[in-house]
Amino acid sequence: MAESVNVPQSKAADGSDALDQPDFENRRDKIAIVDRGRLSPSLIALVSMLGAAVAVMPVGRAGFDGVIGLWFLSVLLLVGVNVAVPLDTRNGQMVRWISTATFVAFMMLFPIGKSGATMTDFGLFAIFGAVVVGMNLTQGFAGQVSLAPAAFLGIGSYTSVLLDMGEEVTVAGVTVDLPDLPFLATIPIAIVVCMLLSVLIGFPALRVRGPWLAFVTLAFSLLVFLVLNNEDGLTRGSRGIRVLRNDFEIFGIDMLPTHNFYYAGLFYLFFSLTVVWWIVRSPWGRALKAIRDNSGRASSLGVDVRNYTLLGFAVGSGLAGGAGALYARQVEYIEPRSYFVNQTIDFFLATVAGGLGTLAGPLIGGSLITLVADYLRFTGDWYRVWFGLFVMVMMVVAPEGLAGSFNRFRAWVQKRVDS
Amino acid sequence: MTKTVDNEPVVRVRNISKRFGGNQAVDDVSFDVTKGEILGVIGPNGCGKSTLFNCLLGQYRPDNGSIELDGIDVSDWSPPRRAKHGLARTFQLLQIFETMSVRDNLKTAAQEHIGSAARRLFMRPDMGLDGEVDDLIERFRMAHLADELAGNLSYGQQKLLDTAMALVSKPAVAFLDEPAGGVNLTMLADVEQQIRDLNVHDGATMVIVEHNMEFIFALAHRIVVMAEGRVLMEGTPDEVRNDPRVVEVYLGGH
Amino acid sequence: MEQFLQVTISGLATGAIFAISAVGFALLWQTAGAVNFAHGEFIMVPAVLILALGTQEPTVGIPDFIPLIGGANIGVALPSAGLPWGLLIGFALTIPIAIFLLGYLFKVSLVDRLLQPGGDDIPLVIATIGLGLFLREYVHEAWFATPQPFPSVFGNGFWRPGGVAISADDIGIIVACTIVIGALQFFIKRTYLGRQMEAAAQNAETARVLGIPVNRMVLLTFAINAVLVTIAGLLVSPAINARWDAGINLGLLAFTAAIIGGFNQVRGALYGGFLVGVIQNWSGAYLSTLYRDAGPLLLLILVILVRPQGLFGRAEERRI
Repeated sequence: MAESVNVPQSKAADGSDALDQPDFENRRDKIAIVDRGRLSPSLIALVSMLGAAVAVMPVGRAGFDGVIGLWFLSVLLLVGVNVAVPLDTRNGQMVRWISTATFVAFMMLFPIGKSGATMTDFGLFAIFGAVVVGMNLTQGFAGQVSLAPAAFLGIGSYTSVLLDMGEEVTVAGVTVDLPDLPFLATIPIAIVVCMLLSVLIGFPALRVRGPWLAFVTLAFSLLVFLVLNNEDGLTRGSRGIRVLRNDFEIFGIDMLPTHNFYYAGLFYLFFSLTVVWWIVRSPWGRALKAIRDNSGRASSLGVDVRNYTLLGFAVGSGLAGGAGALYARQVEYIEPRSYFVNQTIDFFLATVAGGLGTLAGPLIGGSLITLVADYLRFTGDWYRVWFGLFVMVMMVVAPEGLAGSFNRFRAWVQKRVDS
Repeated sequence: MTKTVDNEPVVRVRNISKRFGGNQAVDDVSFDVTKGEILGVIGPNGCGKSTLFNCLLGQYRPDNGSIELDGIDVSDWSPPRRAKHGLARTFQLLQIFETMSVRDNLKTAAQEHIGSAARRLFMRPDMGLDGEVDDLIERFRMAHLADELAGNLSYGQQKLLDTAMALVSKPAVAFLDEPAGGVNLTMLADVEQQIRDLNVHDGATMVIVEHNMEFIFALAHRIVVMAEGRVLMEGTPDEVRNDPRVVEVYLGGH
Repeated sequence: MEQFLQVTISGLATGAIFAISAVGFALLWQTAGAVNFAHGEFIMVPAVLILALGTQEPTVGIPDFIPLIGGANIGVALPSAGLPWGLLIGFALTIPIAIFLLGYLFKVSLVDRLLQPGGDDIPLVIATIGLGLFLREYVHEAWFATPQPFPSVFGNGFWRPGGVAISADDIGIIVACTIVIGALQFFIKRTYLGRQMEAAAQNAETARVLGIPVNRMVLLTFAINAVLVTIAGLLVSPAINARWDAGINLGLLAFTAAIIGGFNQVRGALYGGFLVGVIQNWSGAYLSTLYRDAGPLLLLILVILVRPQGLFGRAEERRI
């Protein structure tokens, strides 16, 4: 996570720095690892209560009717505590864990008593959120722009649906009888197919530094669209495929009703977050950070920039592919147009707006293109115009995105409180 | 001080040339690096020392010539591959990871030498490097700074960290580009002491480009003098000091 | 054979348009280091403007320019001038607008702020993708959502010398683009200002030392780019109509041309443009009409694999 705050440096290139020892006594920004403080029971109790309130309040209501004000207040207070308590202390860590648990509990409990339409929205949020999580790995952590998430979403969808239907397909005159696999088995296949394809196109593009991957993936997106649209024998072209929801059971629970299917999407979202979190905290994450910081130096120290970057791209694409399998079931009808470049642009801008290189960013970004977009549907498509404008302004004013801005805000507040 | 050197060459540099447009930056340079020695490379500004380093470590592709490590020709290898096989370096301009802590900087420098890529994904973040890294931090007298962001260090400390990063993986040969450049006098003796220490106690082999004559003459066993891209002469510090050609290069211009 | 000639000529015509748009793209890359992912929209927007300003006979009107604040339809009645004239008036009116919006404003508000020397180019890539979305959706929402027919400046004539059907539009495009390219080359190679511009593009530092106003030269390339995309918009739209979503394809093909030919050379972008146009038409004619665009895109991936500096570009060694 990009919590680090860059402190103005007092470098003296000529070595004129008085004793060559920074004056630590007078500096507020030193990292006090030694003393991480003691846990405060009252703080923990307060935060737990807030968290419980946030998670439980919407349960059993159609919307947030009646509690919306109180709910927002609780969320704000929880965010406020997050801002106020320094992250490096034991208390800070605990507050963060409780907040994360609150988010998980909220997402788990939310469906109770909600309408099907609401849950369709949230299901889409979970699935697209997973795509944005993957994209954030490629872009935020591996530092490469991929413009193919929608194409991989499409490849994942079609792979899953075709293997699930198990019908005869014809490509370039060759007829193949596809096996009829259970839906669950098609998800890992979709992931693997997308990872392999991304390695295939990423390998040449990452030979040289520069925005080449962006160009190649954009070209790839168009090629994928052309194939989906034109290979009638394989994809039924622009007519699309009506996806039959069947045979999806986990532990004997039928996952097909909208409410249950939401949990499948939610699980996949958590899975994606876990994968990215795992990579970021492993030595690979350190290598990725080093590459972003100074790729030339990293490479001179034995960090294989190309392989690590390729990995970030491949995992990101794979996550999009798996999300594609779920997406097809969620919307029950797939057609090439859903996977065109404009969908990619949505994912891309969501990634950027949420905040690159953070774990919370993709969740914010994912909600921007699903929940918030749905809420703004009344504007026609004007919200898309604003979205484009918003991203441009943000790049100039706060290039770290919403989550990054939040981190900066927290750092600013804590500095104030400190002094 | 004792200067003991085996006679076994680790790195063999043969006929390296590099041209930029009309400018012959490096012209047919050859030398050997013997195990356990400190080899100094000196020469006036713009004589091609840094370009030579970039050719040897893979940042540039030389027009001509080869570099062998332990008898293996590594001329076609990528920089990370060379690094993994024991050719470490620093750059003339300071190159550290400013948004990472001192400890993480050193771990980054050490981690690629351990385990396979796949295993690294499932290792704990510290990778069992903590002991080794803390040891080096201790020796470089930066223990109080271990968790400080590298960007917050003073220039001299950053320079020292940069050097430590090249040495933490115990490379076969470390190429140091001006380790004393821009370091103030208080710190200079320290840098010199660390480098000598690593050489004498750990047997670290180093090739050092340096402008500070006093510094390099005190440290090096052998010195290569470059001028206008060529090797002008090669010899012990005393031989170099007393050679009229060297004086001419430094004083007489071209 | 007739079909081959026919396809090749219309390929050259399309290619000529790609060539001038690719040159604009490459110029920005060379002088400012700016990669513009909204380049396709930069071609589409002038086309829409030309249509809006020029063909609503007998009115030359400024349509709802800023519907956000409720702009009105301000129109000036023109004597019935005939279609091509209306188009040309629209074109003439669009050029200064394009220079201001797509040249000056783009440079000052985005490129200058996001592109620090020696810095990362990703923020500008992101911002221009946002800009592309903004322009596309703005035209979609504020002007029209359906493709609008766009008349050709050169009319709809056809000649059939020896059975080869050649359209006046194709010939007109090739001639017009050749003139534009020739003029540009003359400007860069033969005029004092152009040589200053080239010097600034090749080595900004040295140019600055020599007293060349580098920043003004960069601004000049943005203006030239704006003129080039306006011309490209005028010429390409008869074939594809003026449509809000034209930019995705146009932009992709323009920078495909630039990359295939070689980013760092105006010449490379030119050849790349023609190559992409011809290959596109060949693959449309001989492979499958459905896969018209597939040929250039596959070639793009191939070029990046084998020769990332482009077929006609020169390799650059990254200095450290």
